[in-house]
Amino acid sequence: MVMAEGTAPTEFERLLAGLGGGRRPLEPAVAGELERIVGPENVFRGAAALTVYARDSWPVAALRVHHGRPLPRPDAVVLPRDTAEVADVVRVLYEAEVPIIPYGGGSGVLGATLAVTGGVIVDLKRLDRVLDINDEGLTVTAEAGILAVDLEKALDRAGLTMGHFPQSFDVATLGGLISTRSSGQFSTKYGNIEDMLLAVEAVLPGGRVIRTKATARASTGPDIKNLFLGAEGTLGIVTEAVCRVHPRPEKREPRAYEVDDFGVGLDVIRRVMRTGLRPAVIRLYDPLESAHSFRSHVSQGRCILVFVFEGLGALVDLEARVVAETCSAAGARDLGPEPGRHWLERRNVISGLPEFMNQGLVVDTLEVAATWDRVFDLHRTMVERMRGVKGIISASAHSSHSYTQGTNLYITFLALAPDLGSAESLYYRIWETAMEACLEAGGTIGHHHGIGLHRARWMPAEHGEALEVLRRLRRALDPKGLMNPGKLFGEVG
Amino acid sequence: MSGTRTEGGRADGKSFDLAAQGRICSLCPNMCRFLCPVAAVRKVETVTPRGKATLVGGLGRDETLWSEEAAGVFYNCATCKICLEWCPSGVDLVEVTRGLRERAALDGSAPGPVKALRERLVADRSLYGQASELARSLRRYREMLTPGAKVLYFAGCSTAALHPGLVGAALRLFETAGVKAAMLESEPCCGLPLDLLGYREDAATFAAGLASAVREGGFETVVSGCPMCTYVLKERYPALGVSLEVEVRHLAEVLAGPVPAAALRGAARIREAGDGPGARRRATYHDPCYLGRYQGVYDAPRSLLADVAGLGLVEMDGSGGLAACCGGAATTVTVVPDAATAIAGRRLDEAARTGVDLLVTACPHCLDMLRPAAGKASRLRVADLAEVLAERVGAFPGRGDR
Ligand SMILES: Cc1cc2nc3c(=O)[nH]c(=O)nc-3n(C[C@H](O)[C@H](O)[C@H](O)COP(=O)(O)OP(=O)(O)OC[C@H]3O[C@@H](n4cnc5c(N)ncnc54)[C@H](O)[C@@H]3O)c2cc1C
Ligand code: SF4
Ligand code: SF4
Repeated sequence: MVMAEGTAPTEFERLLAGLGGGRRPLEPAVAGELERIVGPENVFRGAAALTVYARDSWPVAALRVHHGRPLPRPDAVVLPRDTAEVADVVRVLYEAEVPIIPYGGGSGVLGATLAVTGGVIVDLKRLDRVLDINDEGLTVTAEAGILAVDLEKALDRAGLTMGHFPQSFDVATLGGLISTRSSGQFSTKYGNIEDMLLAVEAVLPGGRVIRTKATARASTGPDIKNLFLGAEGTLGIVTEAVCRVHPRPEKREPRAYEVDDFGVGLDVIRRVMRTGLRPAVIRLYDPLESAHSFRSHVSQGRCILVFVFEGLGALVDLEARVVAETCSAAGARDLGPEPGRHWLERRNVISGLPEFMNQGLVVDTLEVAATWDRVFDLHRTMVERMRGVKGIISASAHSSHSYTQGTNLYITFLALAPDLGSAESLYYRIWETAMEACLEAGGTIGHHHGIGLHRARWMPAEHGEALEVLRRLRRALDPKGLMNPGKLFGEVG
Repeated sequence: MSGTRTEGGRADGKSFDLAAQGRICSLCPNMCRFLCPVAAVRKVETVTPRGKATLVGGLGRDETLWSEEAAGVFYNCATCKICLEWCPSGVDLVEVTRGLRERAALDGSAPGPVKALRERLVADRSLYGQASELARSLRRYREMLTPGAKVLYFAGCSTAALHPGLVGAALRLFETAGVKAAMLESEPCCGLPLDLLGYREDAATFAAGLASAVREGGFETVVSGCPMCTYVLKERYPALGVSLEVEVRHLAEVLAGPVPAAALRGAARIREAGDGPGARRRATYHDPCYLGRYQGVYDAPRSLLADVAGLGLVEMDGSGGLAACCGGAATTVTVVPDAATAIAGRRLDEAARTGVDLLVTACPHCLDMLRPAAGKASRLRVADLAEVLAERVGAFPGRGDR
């Protein structure tokens, strides 16, 4: 069904064929039940809507849209209003053995919402209420379909912030951010989504609703809410979440330095993190990215290191001082606040990317992580290997989320296929090279985009035997294998 | 505040073809979706900017996708152009999808309410009952007109039918500002709703009719308090192949000119001397999409409100180029009225959050959306620029207004 006629199947098409799991049309009676639950105006079965919901922000999906190649369509899209409706929808679909695909903002970049075996997409964006802002306890309770930008706006009005600012802030939902184990640009201070989540409400595969308890800390067995962090809809649908929030920062100050090379920059970050201080943002760009994004600030061949300090005024001053000392000891050149200001202003503007793709270029980003002892090598190995792939124009990286024990690498590649037909396979070749190099250099294959459809094939190599724990959990919670088939585990049914 | 954007162009003034714009949008991560008012209330992915562009791309390759459902998607747009304001790629969705609305209008796949509106418009030549009746209702203002004047005041059917008091207010303001104005015997619809809904030929017929009436009157300038009317006359008539050959300006632009503004300020001061100064009142201003983003008029209404009406302006979260839509353009109100109402509610909430008790706009359509949204319960009064100014300079404001 998804093959373009008269051509050899592409990697994506072979992947779909490999997953198997034949599809059945949605029974009219089931569709009727869905309409009864959410109202006919919230059930979409027309070709136009299904075409739009056949994709998300995964570049392969975009490439296929661009090249006019088919993508698997869901059989219907439903938009429930609240947890009760989500539970009813899931109950009906589970009973009827129809695959269920949760959908947030569709900003995921690994094909995690593709309806590979058909089924029904449950779009959660009508669950968009902020239920409680507790200033004293510093928590927020909100429904899962709210866009991060809207949640943050509500908090801002109350003088608070969640501190979660992924670049996709304007397009991603709270539920999606939880379900992919996302990271925000200010994560070095505020933590990643797992550091923010206090409790979830979720609808389990059969339709049962569970809630975990929001508390400061607990010693009550393995933490149940953690199962939903990064589950990508395979274990249930998150309908509500309680998250930690912070008082809005009193002061914010950007600062940038130029270092001789990437290794010196990594060492500066490591030393800063050892002190226990937590600048909100630490970004180190390799020479190529430094030249590309900060052309007017940095000398050719050097690396730029951008910091943003925020919080209590005295703390900001202290962080700025310690960073200045560390940088000076490493022989870094102070570039002042301007590059950081520039970054703060432009950080969410994705200009150029769609234009590049429209010109036939293959563009994507991938994010990995490692401990300090490995990260320098990881950068070199991955970038060098990727640069060796025929057709690649550039592979470059920056580090943007740091920890006491290590950091991430965010790699961007740009490539040109000889013709439209081979763009997809070039994409796969680059990814394969990158993932293999990552595993070989001791990196973790995903830092914050999740696994989705695309990265599932590297899950066994990433986790080894331990993956069995997740597999069993999945089978126990979803015995019929209907929750977001093909994602995370690369299995259908 | 930012200036005018070239239609179908980019911020840097370079324009590129609409098909390429559509392709680029379908490749974008939908970064502007949070600003799209229709997406914000309807939630369904199909109506987001990228959703629409994805469908445009699909239609280019698969004819079987074309249906009433697909056509409906392109009417699920408030035509607010806030996506264009934000878009780093300069994609103008309203223009990208215009051809598809035209196709739907031609082949009958446009939504039922759209077709009904077109029938009514073509029969009555006005959005609200017979144009001839509207003309009768405006006769009472005749004494305020100057026969043979070079300035044509064009009320527009929404103003004439729903807010006739604004006609009186505008004419009094002209009088105070020393602007001599005339009106047409009978005002036909400017054609904007037809143009917007895809009925290009009907719109062109309407445009030709109005243009010839304007030419016959020998006017040099057309002024209207309705930004949709001024936009269509200025920008769309040429695109429809109709030449008007007169200057077209919104009432705010004319009144903010140095001479009229000085006269209005003078009148306001005399009035103030009589009434005593009172506390400086605070207000917020809602930029109508068709006045701000479409025509780049941001400062004129603000300066009139501050200098003439003596108001302290408090800006909303989104203002100027990033002002949120009120839901009021012909498309959404006709096709998804509930969504339009919800959009108005969101804008009103933003206004309420400023803490002021007066919300001023400069468009009868915005007034129509925001006033009911405020309802009786809200302490926010929603008013048009013309009435606020007329009240201030002591001109007779609300005669006959509802
Ligand atoms: C331009 C751009 C920049 C980005 N920047 C970042 C970044 O800085 N940091 C980062 O971490 N990510 C980033 N991403 C990736 C993406 O935004 C995140 O993965 C995000 O968490 C996805 O959220 P969403 O609501 O769009 O989810 P979707 O894409 O709709 O779904 C993602 C996955 O979550 C599942 N899901 C969604 N909602 C629920 C729910 N309520 N319950 C259960 N499962 C659910 C889906 O089934 C799917 O498996 C970026 C993406 C783009 C396009
Ligand atoms: S209008 Fe611009 S920002 Fe919005 S989705 Fe399209 S390309 Fe992206
Ligand atoms: S013009 Fe306005 S309503 Fe239409 S797609 Fe753009 S943002 Fe949405």
